[in-house]
Amino acid sequence: MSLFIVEAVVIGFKEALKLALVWLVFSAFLLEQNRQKLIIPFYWGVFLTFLLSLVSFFIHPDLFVKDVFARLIGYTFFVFFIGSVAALYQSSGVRLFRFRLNDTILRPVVLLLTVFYFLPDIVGSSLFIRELSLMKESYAPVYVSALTGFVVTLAAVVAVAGRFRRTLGKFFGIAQFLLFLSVVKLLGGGIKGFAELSLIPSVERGVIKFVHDVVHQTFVFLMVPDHPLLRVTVWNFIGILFSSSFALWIVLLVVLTPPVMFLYRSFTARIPEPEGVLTGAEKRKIKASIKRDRLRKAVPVAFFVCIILVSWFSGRGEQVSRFYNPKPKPVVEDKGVVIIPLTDPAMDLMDGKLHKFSLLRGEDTVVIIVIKKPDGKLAVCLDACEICPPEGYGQIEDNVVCIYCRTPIPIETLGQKGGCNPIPLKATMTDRDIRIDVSEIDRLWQDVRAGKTKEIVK
Amino acid sequence: MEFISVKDVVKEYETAVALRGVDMDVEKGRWVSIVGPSGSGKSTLLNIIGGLDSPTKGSVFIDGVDLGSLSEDAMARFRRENIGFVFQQSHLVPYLTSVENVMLAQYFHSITDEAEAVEALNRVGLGHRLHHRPSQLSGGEQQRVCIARALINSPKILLADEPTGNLDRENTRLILELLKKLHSEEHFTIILVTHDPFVSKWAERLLTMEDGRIIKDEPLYC
Amino acid sequence: MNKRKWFLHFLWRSLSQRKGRVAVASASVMIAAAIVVSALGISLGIRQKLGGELRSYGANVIITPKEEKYLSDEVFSFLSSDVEVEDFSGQLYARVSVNGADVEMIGLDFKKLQGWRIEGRTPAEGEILIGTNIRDALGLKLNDAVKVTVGDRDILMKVSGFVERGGPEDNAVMLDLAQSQRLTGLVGKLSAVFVRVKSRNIGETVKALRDHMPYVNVKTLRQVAFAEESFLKKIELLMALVTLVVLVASGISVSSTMSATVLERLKEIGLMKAIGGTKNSIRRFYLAEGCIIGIIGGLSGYVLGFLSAQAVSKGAFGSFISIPFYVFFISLGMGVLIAVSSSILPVTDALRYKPSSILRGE
Repeated sequence: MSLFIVEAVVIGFKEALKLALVWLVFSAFLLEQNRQKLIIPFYWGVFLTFLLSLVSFFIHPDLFVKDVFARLIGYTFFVFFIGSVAALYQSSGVRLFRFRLNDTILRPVVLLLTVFYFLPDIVGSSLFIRELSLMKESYAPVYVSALTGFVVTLAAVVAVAGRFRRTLGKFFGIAQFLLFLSVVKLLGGGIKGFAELSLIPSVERGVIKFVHDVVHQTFVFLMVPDHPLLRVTVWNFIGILFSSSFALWIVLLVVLTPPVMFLYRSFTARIPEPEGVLTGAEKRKIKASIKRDRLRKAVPVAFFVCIILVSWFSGRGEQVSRFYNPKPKPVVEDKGVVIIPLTDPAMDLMDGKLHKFSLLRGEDTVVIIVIKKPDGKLAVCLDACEICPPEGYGQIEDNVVCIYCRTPIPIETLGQKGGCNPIPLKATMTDRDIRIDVSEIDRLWQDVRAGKTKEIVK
Repeated sequence: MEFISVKDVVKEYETAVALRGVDMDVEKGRWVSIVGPSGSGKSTLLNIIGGLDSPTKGSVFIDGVDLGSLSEDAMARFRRENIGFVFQQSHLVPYLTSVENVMLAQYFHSITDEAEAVEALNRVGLGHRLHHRPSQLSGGEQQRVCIARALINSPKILLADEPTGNLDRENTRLILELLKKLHSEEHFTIILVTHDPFVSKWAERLLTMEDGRIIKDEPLYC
Repeated sequence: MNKRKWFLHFLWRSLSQRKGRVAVASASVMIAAAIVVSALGISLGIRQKLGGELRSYGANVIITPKEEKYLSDEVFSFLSSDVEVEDFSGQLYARVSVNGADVEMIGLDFKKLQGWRIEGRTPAEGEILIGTNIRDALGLKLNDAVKVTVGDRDILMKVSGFVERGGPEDNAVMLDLAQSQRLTGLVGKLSAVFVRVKSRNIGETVKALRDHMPYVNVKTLRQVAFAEESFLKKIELLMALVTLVVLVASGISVSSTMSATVLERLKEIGLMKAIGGTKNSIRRFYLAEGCIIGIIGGLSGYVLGFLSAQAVSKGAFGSFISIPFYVFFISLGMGVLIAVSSSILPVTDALRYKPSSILRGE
């Protein structure tokens, strides 16, 4: 019971910390740019966000809306990250844009971006807090503790750190500020309390899935799908690509390349000769100040690179804890057919969770997975694919994930043949149960077991 | 207010009094010589103007800045942008070459620029002695390195304490001609302390000190 | 040339043009580091070595019969199931006469013995090992036949070798345990069982043994156990003291060298101030210099210390020791620490002077 309270406080604390830090850096940035007035639309944006999130309490959003907000957080991260990359690129001397916006245009931009930045988090957190309070069956304590955590943290940060704004501003250009926003998003974007403080696992999964989908679709499209030799060899190769450590490195590479390049540039790029009739000493002074400024601006970038690296590696532990991998339930064959009832007192096949059943065939234990797809049909597959060793699948939210290579497979694609997908089984559905021919299981299992791969390549 | 303004400066040491209330003003771009017997306080006055020493009483203003209000590091920063020094002994870092000694001043000022340092040495006529260490240079050459170093950061003031004290007549004349040329090109203010009448008469104004006071202030026409 | 490069260039100049000074300073750091490395290396090496030698020295727990005359070898099965017990072996004692002289006979398990220097070979069936005192008293030679009398039986046995351990073994004859049991008709009986318990848990394990086998006496071999636990500590304490004294002494010598180095460069410091160096920017040069001197001294000190530790070990133990790799980093870190910390003070002191008083010197 008290865990709910603690969790609520943590959420309040986290959201307030994000808000306070963003306020701090933004106002420091404006102070340095001498555009303090732009803080006003920021305040309005925050106000508007809170109003909107209040609305969300009354509209009883369904699963779909919640999912949209969860995804939005990921998208905001990418938007700000890409923005910061572009700005870093620009600030290291490459001219991408040539415009300089005046305050009239910037005011609505700041307002909109503020809402865009905070809305998903605040709404998501509000919804989560409401769920918590529903579980507790008494609203007030949960709301109050979340709000207390929020207000106390906000006040503390603003009071303590406010006076460092002048110094802080020297370290932040627009690029650094955008990078800061995306890092805050990355580290604090999770909205599910303890279970998901940071976005890292989601981002990692998202990127792998994206790459996987692209590669998968490309190959499915390009190749004669059932050419056995080509198919198996290529998929074997792709299988290596999707091993868990490889994926980590790819994602890290994608995320860290731009800031590291920026750091490299800021240490090595030539300083342009100052223009005008100046003495050598004056020129050197200007150059030195440019150099000092570059080094200062490199500090936050280096800092964020370190933070991302550290939290990325430490954040990987989270994935494991949310990995749902049920113990297979033994089933037996009856006259050449395996019958799995749709419901029994202990389970419900239609609950959207992964179900596993084990069947003894000779020396082997063959595992069958069953899961309800979003369209309401049941997917029935072997707990193995054509590529990896048959270690089976677990479930993370709306994906099943290969335990061996960690490739996430969207549940809606289950039943499709090939690649990393689990091998589908033909099953007959009745009102009360699923029936699978043992001969079908044996045939497909023999392929998996014999390492079909090798035989075909021969 | 004048460019350099010294107001009622007193400097007392534990055993002696070096300055007993000195007032003086120097206009921008002037060349002022201070003469007097040894112990008359002229070097002390120069050090106080340059912020190398602090007065017991009184104040020094340079370009409107009260030196007494600056902390030690702020004084160092002020010095590196506004004041160049040439001493009697050519204080050069012994293990650095001529050009590196000049670059040391650039380093403390902002960043180093070797081409500019070489150019500065060319101007004092040491283009052929760039990569020699002080021990491989003659006294006159060492003083030229000092002048190049003192002027590398385009200071507004050059303070020279017996710059030719260790040199023979010929080298003295060369150094003074060099200073005159640079002064006419860059218009910095020179305050030069000497006891040598041959040196002092190159100035536009001559101050005579005795026993910690300025006793005579006369213009020179040359 | 940018600022960082210039900084390094300046350091390079300052060090390479003043080789003598740098050599003296880094030599004094080196000596400090060398002594620490060799002290550390020797004490770590001794721990390793002595650990091994004490192991072969004997057991730390002994089990003897309480009321009966002999133990039965059931004790073995219990000991072999206890994880805290590293090793054990049984012995059987009996009075016999050898060539008419009355001596103690020890039946033991030669396979379990380590570190026994036998002059000859381990006795096989029908052979016997003689303590050196008995050998001298009876004038025996290798491969002599001796008459062993047990009770009223006489058996001829061959002398397989001699042993000197400076203990009761010197006054005894020894043969294989099983053989001695057959000889004396005490099959399956033991006079004592020597147990080697993991030394950190002696107390607990002894208690457990007593609880489980109330019919026997379980005692710790205090002198052995105590030596094992405290000897190393004493050595390490000694080494630590030596190291501390050396550190203090060399710290003083290093800092006096470093302050001499700084003092002779007082003019330089005054000059840097005059041309506009702030305290920090000047201090940075000298501390970086100290750092480099520390690295040079630490590296060479490690080499020197390593060699001298090996020399000492060779002299004392007749063999080389293995020094853990991290000692290298200790040496390096210590060198830097000594050199930098002993130059901080003189530099800070020198920076207090007004440039005018430094530069005045006429």
